[in-house]
Amino acid sequence: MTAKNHFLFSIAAASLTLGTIDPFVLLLAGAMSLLPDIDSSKSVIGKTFFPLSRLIERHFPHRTLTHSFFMTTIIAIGAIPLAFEGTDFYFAALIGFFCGWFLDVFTKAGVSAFYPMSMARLVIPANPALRLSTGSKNEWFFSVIFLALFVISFQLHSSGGVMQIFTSLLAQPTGVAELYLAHSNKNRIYVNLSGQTSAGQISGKYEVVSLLSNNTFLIRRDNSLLLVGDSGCLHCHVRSDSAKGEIGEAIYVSTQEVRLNEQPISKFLDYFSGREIQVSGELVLPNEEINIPNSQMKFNPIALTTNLDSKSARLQNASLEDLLPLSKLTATGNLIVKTITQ
Amino acid sequence: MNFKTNSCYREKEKNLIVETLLGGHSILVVGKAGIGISALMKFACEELERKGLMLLKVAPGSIKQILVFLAFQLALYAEDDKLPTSPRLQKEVVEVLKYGNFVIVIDEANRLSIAVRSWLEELHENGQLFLLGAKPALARDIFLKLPRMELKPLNYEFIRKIISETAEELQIELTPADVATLQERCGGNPMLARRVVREYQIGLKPNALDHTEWINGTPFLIAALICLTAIRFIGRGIGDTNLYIFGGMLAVVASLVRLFMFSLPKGSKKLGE
Repeated sequence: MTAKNHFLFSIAAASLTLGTIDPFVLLLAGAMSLLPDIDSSKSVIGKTFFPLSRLIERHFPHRTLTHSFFMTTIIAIGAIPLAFEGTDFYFAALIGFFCGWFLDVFTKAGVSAFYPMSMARLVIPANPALRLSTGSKNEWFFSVIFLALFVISFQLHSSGGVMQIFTSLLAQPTGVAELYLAHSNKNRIYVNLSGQTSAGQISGKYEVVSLLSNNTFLIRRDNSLLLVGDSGCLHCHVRSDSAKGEIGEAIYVSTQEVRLNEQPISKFLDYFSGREIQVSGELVLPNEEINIPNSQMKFNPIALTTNLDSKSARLQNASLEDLLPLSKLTATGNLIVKTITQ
Repeated sequence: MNFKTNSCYREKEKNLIVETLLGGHSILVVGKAGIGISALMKFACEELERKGLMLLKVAPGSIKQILVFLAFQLALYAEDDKLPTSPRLQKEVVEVLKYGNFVIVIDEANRLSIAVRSWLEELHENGQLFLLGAKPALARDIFLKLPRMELKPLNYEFIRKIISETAEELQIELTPADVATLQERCGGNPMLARRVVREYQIGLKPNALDHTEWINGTPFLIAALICLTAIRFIGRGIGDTNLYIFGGMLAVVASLVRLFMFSLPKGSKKLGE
């Protein structure tokens, strides 16, 4: 194979396997793919490092020492310092080098992949008539394929990666859950949802507020929360027919723990006033009458439990508005507050 | 056994043959076409003659031809003499062989007929020493009974020397890059090493590489693809439906590639067949 094909194949392989389009990582993979051909002074890299390539070709046949698992192991050890710069750089160097020689197994002469244990040439396929001649016109065909692979990989990773596109095509809640897990700390996540509620069909674009499991999540609709799951989810408020995740505007998310010790909740609300927050945790409240509207048609962020001499409230993704009915009370407990700023 | 080369690249094997025959044992040298059996036998014979053994070098042929050949070498008859009938000649040759310290040397013994092989087997059972060279021979009669030495592909350093020697003979100049590239086409076979230099001189770039030192990587490729289908089980294990479906699709792709690769026409694996 020519240097051009080694380069294209390696950057496509590195991009697909590492899931990156970082130009430095891909350039490293491309450059490393040329390295195995240093055993020939007629190759691009051989001409660049002529004394070294001449030395190698005086002692070894073409495609033996530098086209082997043995040399790949040496590169894997030698490239360890690159891992301190980033594991992507390390693996790009390895993938680039490996692809650089492995592509030659599809040529007529193959490579001595098991050198120095065996000089036998590794080839695919076995029939020489079906293998490629280096520099033949057929190589253009492969150049186009490798370039197309790279373009596809670039497009895939610009759109979030292979799995994300795949899950998006399937339009299942698990895909939205994965997208939320991957991006919710930096972006708002929306879902283009169509499904069934007990009140009828629901369809539209909603913000995903939180995950409850790997295939159920909460959405906000008209200031209330709804639990969304797949068509088999019996306790969900929305059973989705189609749920496609979408990455929204950038946000900054911070999380802090707040401890209340018989302190008024109004103070807590004043402190976070004007901010978008989600509160989770458990509060012990005085045994007074509290009126919190509960409904089976939506997800209730505050669940009250009455004890002998007190009440406790379990909060889950409660907003400031949800906490307003508790504002006149004093409470004790620990809360996790997630603050979202644009 | 007519070679231009004066260098023996299989010293170890040559010494082993010499020691074996001096120790009173016969030996069969086998290997693929062009691997260097004839050259090795030539150098071994020279060494054996220097050590004082009497060699009877016989070309493969009919039993009559071999008997005549042996009779002349054993000086039983001169070329102008009228020869007796085959059974009588056979008896006379066997009688002489019985009382002399002779080694019968036959290259390309795989071309011998069953009748000759049976006779040689009989001689071997009576203590006659043999040095036989053969292409991968059938494991039967004398080929089964003789200790067998199988020649491996020649070290690539020697192949490099043979290429350089041949280039010198043909008075052509090869750069180290040319030699390294030509070596790719030999696979440790000295006969092919000479041939590729001649092809280079003529300007041929043959597509078919005749050496047999190949490892078919197709099963490795299929195995690697099948390993990817483990994603399916990971998906199932962690309850990720998307991963499960994706892994299932990879399994289908791996099966299709397997089906495609194994349906490709297969090339011949044996040199000279």
